[in-house]
Amino acid sequence: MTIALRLAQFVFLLLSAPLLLGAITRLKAILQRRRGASIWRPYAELGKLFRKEDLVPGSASWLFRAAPRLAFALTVTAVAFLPIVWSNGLLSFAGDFIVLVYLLAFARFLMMLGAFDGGSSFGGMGASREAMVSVLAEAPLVLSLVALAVAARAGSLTAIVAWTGAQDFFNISVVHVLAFAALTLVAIAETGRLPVDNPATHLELTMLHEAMVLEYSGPSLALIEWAQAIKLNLMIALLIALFAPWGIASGVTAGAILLSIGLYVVKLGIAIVAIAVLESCVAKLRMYAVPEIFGIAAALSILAIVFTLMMKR
Amino acid sequence: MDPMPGENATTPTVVEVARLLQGPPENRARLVSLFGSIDSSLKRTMVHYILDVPGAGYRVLEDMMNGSVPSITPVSPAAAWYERELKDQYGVELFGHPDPRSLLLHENWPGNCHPMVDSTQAVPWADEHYEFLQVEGDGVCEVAVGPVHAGIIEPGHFRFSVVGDNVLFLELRHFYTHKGTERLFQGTPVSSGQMLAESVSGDNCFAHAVAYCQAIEEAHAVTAPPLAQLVRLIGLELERMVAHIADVGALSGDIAFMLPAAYCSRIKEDLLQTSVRVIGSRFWRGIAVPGGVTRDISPSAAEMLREAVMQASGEFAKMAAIMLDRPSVQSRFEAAGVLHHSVAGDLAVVGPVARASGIDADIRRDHPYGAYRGLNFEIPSLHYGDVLARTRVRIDEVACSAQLILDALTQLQAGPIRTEVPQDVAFEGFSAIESPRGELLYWVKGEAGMLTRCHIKSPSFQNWPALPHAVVGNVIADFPLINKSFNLSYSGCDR
Repeated sequence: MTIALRLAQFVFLLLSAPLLLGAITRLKAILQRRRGASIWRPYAELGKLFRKEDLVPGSASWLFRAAPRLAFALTVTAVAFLPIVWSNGLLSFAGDFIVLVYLLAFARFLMMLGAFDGGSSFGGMGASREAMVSVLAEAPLVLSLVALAVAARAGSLTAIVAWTGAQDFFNISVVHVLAFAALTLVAIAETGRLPVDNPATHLELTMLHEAMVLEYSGPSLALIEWAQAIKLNLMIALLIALFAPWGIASGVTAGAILLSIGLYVVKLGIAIVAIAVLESCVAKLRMYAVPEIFGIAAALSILAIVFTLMMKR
Repeated sequence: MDPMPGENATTPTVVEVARLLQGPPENRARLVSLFGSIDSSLKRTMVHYILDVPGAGYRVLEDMMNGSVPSITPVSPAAAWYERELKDQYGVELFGHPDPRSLLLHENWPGNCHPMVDSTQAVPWADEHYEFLQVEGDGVCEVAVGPVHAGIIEPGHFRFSVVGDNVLFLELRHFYTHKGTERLFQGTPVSSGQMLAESVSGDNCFAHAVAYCQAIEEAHAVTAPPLAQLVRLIGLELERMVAHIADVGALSGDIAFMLPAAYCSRIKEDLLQTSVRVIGSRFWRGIAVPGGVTRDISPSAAEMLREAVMQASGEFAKMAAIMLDRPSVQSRFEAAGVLHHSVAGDLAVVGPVARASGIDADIRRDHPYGAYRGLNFEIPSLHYGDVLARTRVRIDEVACSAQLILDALTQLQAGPIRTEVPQDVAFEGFSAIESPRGELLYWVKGEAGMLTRCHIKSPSFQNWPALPHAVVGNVIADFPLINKSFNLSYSGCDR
């Protein structure tokens, strides 16, 4: 029974990812007083791309087509560690949060190789910008996760979430506040959202992530877009699990599971509204201001580590 | 000083032009346009120089081409593209031009086929050579952008030389939308030339039509009736409002601040739909004709337009204030893409771009035409020269244009809207107007109701060469924003 639940939440996160994007886009449109496209549009978009031809530049090697497929597989694997509505992830072992970070990093590395392999100048430019972002994002991401693990005296995401869920919401430690701030900043950058990157732009010279995937088309592009949506969903789920796990089901009763699902939807809704409002209020940062965001995130995560020493257990 | 290095190259006219173009910035003439024509009666090629001489207005100088033309570019860099265009169109040699590469004609066009003199029927596909300027040094990379872009925009090629993300040099390669409009004008009846003029630059089509009609009227020494001039003023200012509102929205969209972008496109759409109800055309197509206009504005339509303009300018001012108040917007706009006053002056830049770089010039006030004669209005001008300045100039001009429209609407009185343009005479003349992008000039010549030559000085052709000067020193990721703040037309430049 529990394995079914673990599998179900894993599959749910993968399949709901495009819906999340659709909801954010729709909400942003409403904030601009436009009607906006249907929230189901990303599915139609993926369906269209899967039916299209996969064009490969003449100069590209096998790597060009392999990169998005492998990157998709790695992103999907990373999702398996997450507890979402059920307190155990599909996979769970000590140190799994570090594996999660580097699965995502590896996926990113493959996409950079694919971009260089495409041979266009934008691919190279996008890849080198993406490299800058991922190098800077790695330290705050790992450090804030480590701070939470130390605070919880636990080694796996499942155990960290279980420990946090047992704490009093109104008596949360400063470690969590700092790590939350750091992880949120990193999540924005990692998922290519505003104000770091503009996922909707057509201006190739301003792009980070989008420049990298300009040469892709058809099913390869569909996998890239889906993986990107999954990554956003994963980051939000990770933030919810680590910092607001209260209500997550641990007993196999229909009531507990329904309550958990309901609460998760509410938390996700808050996250969607927060993203849409934030993205409607700010302009994109200048390219050379992006490292400053990571500098702040790194400082916050180091502080989080320091404060774990002062925590009363 | 003799600016021409070539032996026996100088002619008295060129010496006079060079003399006028030299001197301290406040005393020297501004190069307005430079173009060629063929004098069919005398069977010779002419070069025309139009200058704006301080205190003396426009001045036209003409010179005969004897196979080669002494270049005035060493004296006035603003002439560089005009002379290259002259060379491509008429196949003349340039003496002393620092960069005589072809401009209009690309590699696929045979270098010995010059469209204004040779036949353009069945031109073979050629394989000419074009050398981009190269920057050498450690870590210098070239980034080629366009002519096909990731978005649906006009085609143009930009060759950046960068170190990392910093732009060291930018070379433009345009004229992918060159349609041979000036050649098409030759043999077009005067009465239908405005249709060709309307298709030169899509978002400034009324400005082009009015400039053409005014040039025809000037050449025939007729004036449009006062009512027609008022209708033209309303159309021109409405076009300016629409263009600037769209530009400010697009600038906001370029930095991914979508809220003002969405509002601006809605305000723009409101104005365009009001245009349909008022005059029957979103972009005022088919309204301006030589001798006047084709439609009057009825009192009820005037009231509708008054309300729409008041609402649009109020909403836009509010949205623009919200936008410029954002620190994240300020940090993107401020100090980005600075075009220095001296560069803008040397390249004879026009329009909002010039006014944002401290050049207080506006044809409506400096060389008033039509219903602008005797008007007194404010010309916004700033000296910072950055993206923020160009944005603020546009925002202020929207308010100014709205006021001009509201004033003009109160003066509408019944009367004739069209005068007859005489046929069967030889004519030659020109007229300049302030289009949303700056000084737009039509020079026409013809006889018996037919055009034999029509030259278009488009503000985009004048301003494009200034863009690289604003981009160098910025990061390449800021290029789209800087380019948008100039908002030059490709089609209008390429013609």
